[in-house]
Amino acid sequence: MENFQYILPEIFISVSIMLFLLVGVFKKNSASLIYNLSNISLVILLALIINLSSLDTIYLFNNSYLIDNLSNYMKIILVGSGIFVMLTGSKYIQVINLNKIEYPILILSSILGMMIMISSNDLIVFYMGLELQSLALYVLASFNRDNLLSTESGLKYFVLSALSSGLLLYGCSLTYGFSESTNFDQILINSTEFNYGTTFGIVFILVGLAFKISAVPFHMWAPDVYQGSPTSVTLFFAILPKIAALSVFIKFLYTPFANMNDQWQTIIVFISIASMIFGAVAAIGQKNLKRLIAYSSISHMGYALAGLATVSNQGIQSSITYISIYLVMNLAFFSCLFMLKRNDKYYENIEDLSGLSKKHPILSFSLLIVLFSLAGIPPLAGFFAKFYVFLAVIEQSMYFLAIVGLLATVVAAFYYLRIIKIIYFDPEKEEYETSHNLGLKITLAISTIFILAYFIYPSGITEIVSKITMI
Amino acid sequence: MPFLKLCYFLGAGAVIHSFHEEQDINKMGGVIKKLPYTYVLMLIGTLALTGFPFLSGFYSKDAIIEFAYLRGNGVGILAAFVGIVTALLTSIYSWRLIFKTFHGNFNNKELSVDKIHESPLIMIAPLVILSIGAIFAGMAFKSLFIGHEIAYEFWGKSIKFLEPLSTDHPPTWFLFLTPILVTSAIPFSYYLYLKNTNIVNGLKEMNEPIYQFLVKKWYFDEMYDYLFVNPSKKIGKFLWKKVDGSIIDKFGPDGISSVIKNLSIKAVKFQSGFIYQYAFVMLIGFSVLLTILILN
Amino acid sequence: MNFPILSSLILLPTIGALFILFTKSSSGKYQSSKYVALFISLANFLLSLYLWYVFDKNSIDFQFVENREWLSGFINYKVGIDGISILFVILTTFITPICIISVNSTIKNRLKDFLIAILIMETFMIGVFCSLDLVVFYLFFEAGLIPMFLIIGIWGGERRVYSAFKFFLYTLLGSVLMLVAIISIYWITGTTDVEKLYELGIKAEYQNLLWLAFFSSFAVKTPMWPVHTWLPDAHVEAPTVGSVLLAAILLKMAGYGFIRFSIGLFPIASENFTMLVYILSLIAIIYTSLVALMQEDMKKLIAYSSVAHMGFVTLGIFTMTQQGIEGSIFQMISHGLVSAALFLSVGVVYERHHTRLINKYGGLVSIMPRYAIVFMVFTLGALGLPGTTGFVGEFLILMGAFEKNILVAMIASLGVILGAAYMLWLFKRVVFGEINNQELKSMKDLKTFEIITLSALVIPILFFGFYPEPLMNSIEASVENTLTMYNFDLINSLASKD
Repeated sequence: MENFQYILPEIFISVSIMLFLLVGVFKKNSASLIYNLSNISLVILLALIINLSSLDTIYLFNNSYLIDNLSNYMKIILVGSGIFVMLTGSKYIQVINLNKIEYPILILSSILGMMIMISSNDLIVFYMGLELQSLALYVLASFNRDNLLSTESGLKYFVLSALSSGLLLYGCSLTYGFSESTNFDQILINSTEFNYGTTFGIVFILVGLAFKISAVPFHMWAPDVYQGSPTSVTLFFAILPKIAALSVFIKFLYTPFANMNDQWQTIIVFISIASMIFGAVAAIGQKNLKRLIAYSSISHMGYALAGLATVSNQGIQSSITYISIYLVMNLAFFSCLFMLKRNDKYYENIEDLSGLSKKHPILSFSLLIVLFSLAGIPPLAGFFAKFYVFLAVIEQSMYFLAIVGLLATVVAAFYYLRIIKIIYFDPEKEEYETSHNLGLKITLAISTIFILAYFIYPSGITEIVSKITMI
Repeated sequence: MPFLKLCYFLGAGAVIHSFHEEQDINKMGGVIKKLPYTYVLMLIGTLALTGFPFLSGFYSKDAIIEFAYLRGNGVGILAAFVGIVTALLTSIYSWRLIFKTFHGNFNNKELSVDKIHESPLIMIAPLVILSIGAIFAGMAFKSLFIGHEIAYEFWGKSIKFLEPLSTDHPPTWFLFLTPILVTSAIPFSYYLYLKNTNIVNGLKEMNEPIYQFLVKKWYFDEMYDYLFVNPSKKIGKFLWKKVDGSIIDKFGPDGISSVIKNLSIKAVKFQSGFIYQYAFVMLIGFSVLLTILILN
Repeated sequence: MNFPILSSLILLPTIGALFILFTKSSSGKYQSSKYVALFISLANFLLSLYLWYVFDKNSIDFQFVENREWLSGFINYKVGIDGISILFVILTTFITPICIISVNSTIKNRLKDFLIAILIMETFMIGVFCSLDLVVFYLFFEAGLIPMFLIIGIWGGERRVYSAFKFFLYTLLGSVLMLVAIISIYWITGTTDVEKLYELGIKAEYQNLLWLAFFSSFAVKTPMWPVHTWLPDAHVEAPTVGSVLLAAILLKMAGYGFIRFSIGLFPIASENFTMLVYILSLIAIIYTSLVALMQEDMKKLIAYSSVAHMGFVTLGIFTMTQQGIEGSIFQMISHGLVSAALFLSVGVVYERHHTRLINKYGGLVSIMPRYAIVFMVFTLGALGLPGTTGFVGEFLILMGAFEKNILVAMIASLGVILGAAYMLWLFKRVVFGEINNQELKSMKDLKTFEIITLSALVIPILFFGFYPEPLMNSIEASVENTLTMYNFDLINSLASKD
């Protein structure tokens, strides 16, 4: 029983969820209270994880649950960004009348599911975590139930996600059938010989995971869901599930299927290239900022996958660095989006940014930094993210992938530049409200400064990430 | 030489200034009394330029012609004669300038005679200095520049003499030929351009094409325009509009960006919003991946 | 010497920019911001002059080297200068204050933002010329796009959006391959430190591809034919000060890159591709000169002339002779001064008459005599009249070219004639002739600050035109060293083939 101390964070969050549910049911008008409490519980959760992170690799429950450097780091950035997501969205939730007790509780349960996913070392545990987070996400997507777009996006996400879960489950059972185990390490040991069954299993599982991180061609849900969901949920969608799915990606590729890298490498390269190009090209025609950021995240996931395709520790680390910087950039971008409020209405079209720089110089400057960083222009953080990935990719002499990826950045630069053009070059429109809650301001300030000043001390993240080794 | 050329140009400048920036000598004439100083100075300049005996142009021109003659071979003699003929022509046209500018009738219709005025002192003063130079420089420097012994010392090694300067002298008649010719040009051109302009006009009419040819400066400017300037302009315009604009830009940056824009529109349309289609795309993607893997 | 003088040079403008960003100007016109910016840039100029004073001109080593750990374990922040880069640093610090002085005539709105952009730009430009690590170089090289994009886009002319996008995407596209090459170099040799790479050398088999990757970036930035079309657009639409920065310094980054990296790191490939560079340079010289002849817009004419002048520069560099490379460096400095001056001169009349069309002008000599004089000096400088810096550069380049390939040199000489043709024709149409336009008569001659900026440019153009010794002294040792290394590597590679 002494093992339970290692899953203290998971236990803590489960207890909190149940407790908050009880409070919510028995106490009237407790939505704001629970929102704040959830935030505090997330902070405590973060502290608990950090406290555990100094430990070595630990296997729990018959090797079905694993706590190592990868899971710790991923959980830290997961919960950390969860806190900021809650901070930035609090005002938004109130303004559009979504401040209900279920909202923070769903977020917490989704985070719990993701934590289980990240730590899983067994197909069944993994699937449990995945479904827990997905269920919460279905509800969150359609949380604004009076809004047609929101319900539509929830339904779409549900149906397509069910399809992908089905494929994933089928892959799991195929893998189990041919390798005679659900444990990741055991699968690795048992699958030394080539057989088509496991190969099919890999494809099915990768399709399910690619759906979660919205990689092409399993991305179709992303633009609609991003646009339809309430913005705070979109932010959640843009960051947290991707962190979880990426770590599971790393786990699957480098633990159970590590021996079959010559087979999945082609698939990852294909998905990566397709995502980079499609995300960049399709974003150009967008008018809605949330939709645009959906395509942008598709192409960013392409770069993160490019790191994974290298079959090297360097590549894995570069992917993790990439997603870390990516989440900061997204936080900053959505913080700016939350600031486009006038008379209790939030604006989310690109045209609404027209001439923003004249009345809101600081907001525009932050957006400028974020957009150039998303485009990967030095010396901003986004450049380093891409730099690490390409460093790893070229180490393996995958020049085609590198060159295509870099050309896609040029195309992608175009639509980021277009937003900058609208902010800075176009005639100004009405002023937006300037009073924002502190959480939002702090998030924007921290993330912008992080992006801007990353180049001064770029070794910080790399040093932590370099501890994560899979091979 | 520098003195007289300067003197001549500045004199012309003074005249032009007096005529209110008029440069056409056909629109001048009859202003000796109005511009006495300028007239005298121009006269000195002209005399010197044409190589009137003992003025500066005389020495330099004579020396050149003499040395050309002294080469002794056919080319030298030819050169000497060409020199003499040109000296004569120079003399005629220079005097034509003087006569048409200062003598005869006032020909300018736009400007009344009263408005013609002498140039200010600041323009005349340098002219005076230069004209003194034009008169005496030749005598003063003759021995220094082209004298036999001193010349070697003065030029030192900066001019390479192919062979020592000849110390021979050309025949006496040759020495007198040029001065006589240039001096006789004065009454000749006086007659041609003031007294009896009919001859010139008649000549002009009889040889209209040649006259035009000469007026247009042998069509050299037109030839340059035709051969170099206009083709350059045409090529320049072609390269700019066609190559830069219609080829490099059209197929380069603009072309690529419009291709990407079209692709983008297609990609946007691809996103139809129907769940069944999304699911279909997913399954297609799945089959593609499976195919890749099996073919691998 | 422990004081990090180069880092101070790089950082000082940024500190100034931050200061301006966080302080409010007392008057609405942001006059005090301007004085702060001017003070900072002048201080930077003086610092760079001091640098020149303490710089050892006879040494072939990099001096004032700073080496700090940056990306832990593999890439260091390394800066240092030699005789070549110091001239470009001084050019940058010299042009920037001139830009800042000229700001008030051309920039009507958002002066504060503009000053910040210029100062940030200065940081990046100095960084490019100082960096001794490929990644650091790339960082500064690309970062310069951001402020320039904003300068063109916010304060530019009518088609500024198109031009800004074209400028940004063109140059970005050019340099992505360079990034691939830089990373490849890291994996091939294990370092991106330029000094170490000079020692180690890069295997001949990799050189051609790497050279082409670097070339794709530098060729766009130079710009060389046929990837030059962004330049006329960017120049025309940028505000005067933007054009000055672009022409005077940004274009020089590529020329500098050719000398420092293409020749320095890939001598064998440089030798292989010499003919390609010759041909492209010659096309650039002749082609753009002809195009310049036909331009109706003054700025566009000067922009095209820049392409032609940079054609001489690339030609000179790849002659691989002492004269050719020295001439190219000199030509770059000269062009930096002359083109800056020409753009400022165009700015002077544009500000008064609000058009840049040549046929709207004429007879300025009698309205603006002082302007006519300085403009004449710059015109003569641009066409390379002896006594101006333009002559020294072109002359040396042609000397270098004659040594290597007489045909190439002769075609290039044709470009000198065409250069004289379009510059003199421009001057004739603008300054001489009849005053056709009555509005022109109300134009006032140069104001005090214009006299200051323009004469600040006249002086070095004439001084170094008559007495190029100080500049030549500075670059001689470094160029000689570059060539020695180059020839050494070539001979080695030939020996290893046998």
